[in-house]
Amino acid sequence: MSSVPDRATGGHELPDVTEMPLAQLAMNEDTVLGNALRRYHLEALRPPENLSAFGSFAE
Amino acid sequence: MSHGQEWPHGNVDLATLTGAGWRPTALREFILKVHQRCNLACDYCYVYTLADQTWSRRPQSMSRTVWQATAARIAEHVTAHALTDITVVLHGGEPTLAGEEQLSELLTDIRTAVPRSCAVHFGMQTNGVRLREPMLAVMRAFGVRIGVSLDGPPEGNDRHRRYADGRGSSADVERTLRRLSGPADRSLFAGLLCTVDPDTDPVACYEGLIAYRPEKIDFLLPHANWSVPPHHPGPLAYGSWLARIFDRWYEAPVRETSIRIFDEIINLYLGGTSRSEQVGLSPSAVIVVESDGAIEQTDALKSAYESAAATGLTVQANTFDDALAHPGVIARQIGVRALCATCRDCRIRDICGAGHYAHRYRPGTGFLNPTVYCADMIHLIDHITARVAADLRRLEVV
Repeated sequence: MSSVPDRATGGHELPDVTEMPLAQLAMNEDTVLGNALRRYHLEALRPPENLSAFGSFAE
Repeated sequence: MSHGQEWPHGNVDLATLTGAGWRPTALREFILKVHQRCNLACDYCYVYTLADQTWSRRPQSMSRTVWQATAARIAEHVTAHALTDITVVLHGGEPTLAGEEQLSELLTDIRTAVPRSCAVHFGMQTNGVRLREPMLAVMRAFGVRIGVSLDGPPEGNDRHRRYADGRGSSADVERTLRRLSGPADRSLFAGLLCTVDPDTDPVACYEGLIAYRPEKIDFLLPHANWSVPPHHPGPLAYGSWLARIFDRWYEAPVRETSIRIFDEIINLYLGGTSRSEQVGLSPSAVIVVESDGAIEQTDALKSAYESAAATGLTVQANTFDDALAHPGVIARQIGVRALCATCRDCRIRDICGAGHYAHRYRPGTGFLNPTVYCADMIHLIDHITARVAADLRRLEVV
């Protein structure tokens, strides 16, 4: 069997946040939203494939 | 209707799916039940107090024969799928009860079996009451990241997380957490898992947890389903409890920690994917190996009915690719195709993803239902996305 992931994603897609000055500023802040925007930006380049189990931390 | 006739059994067909172009996702997280017993007697534990009692019929501790067979199957899977990194989690029961010598041998055997081209991330989920230096030395030697279960301040934690004689576990866990949050062992500390109890003040609970400076926290909804509903009768008790913690966490001028369920909801709202099986529609790449070598689905399913997590497969006789063909495993990998009509049509479908799979169970229709926490999930997701959307407008992103 191959391991091609079946990504069923959704949500409200954002434009490229690196092209948006205020968003770029927010990305540099150590806030919840700044962190979320950085993660979003990084994962847009390389999305994750797997889930963590409910009852453990394993990342 | 027998459980064998309930969805997904008899309804999910691998040949049809692959004929339509779907392919399974390789397994990347292997949860090993290295010890079946526990030195706590938490009143909500899905292993001992809910529908499934298979723990009592399995070997108390995983034998070297079983973990070596597991290691060989993991290596086989890594090679077959050209995996470059996997995670192996020591779990139970209470994994520290296996003892440091046994765990050291197990970790050595797994690392030796898996090809060097594949990174092996080790983790352990523990109740933290018996984590002393000899065990910590083994964890350090193999870089095992440790997650600890704690339900907030002592009065909340000790309401549920007790010894068999009724004593609360807080004092013993605190000793461990003081050590894990200190400079010497901080790199081992993966985070805290906290089961939601609406009878505990949510902000006090959160602040009690961040006192240990965890890198991550996750709040877990207590296992329940349409047959055994959530304990707390209050309307939106769970959703509003979590929303209050979200506000406290989100409004901190400097981010204090990651809260997995909130981070995942925000990332899904932004258009990303989820890494948590509590939300979203990402394929699950998690599999469990019991102490006797049985290959099982996520152990949370034990809350639904006896043997709900079973696949009938073992590491002695089967490959992990065999598990990828099991209807229960397939159902966790097919995204929106595993949702009932109500969830498919829901406006927050792709963020909620019908919630935790175990919480969807209803006798007769199996797991083809919304989560029993449906109203709470809608409340929480609406709350989070409204706050994030307001900030995104301020940043002129939307």
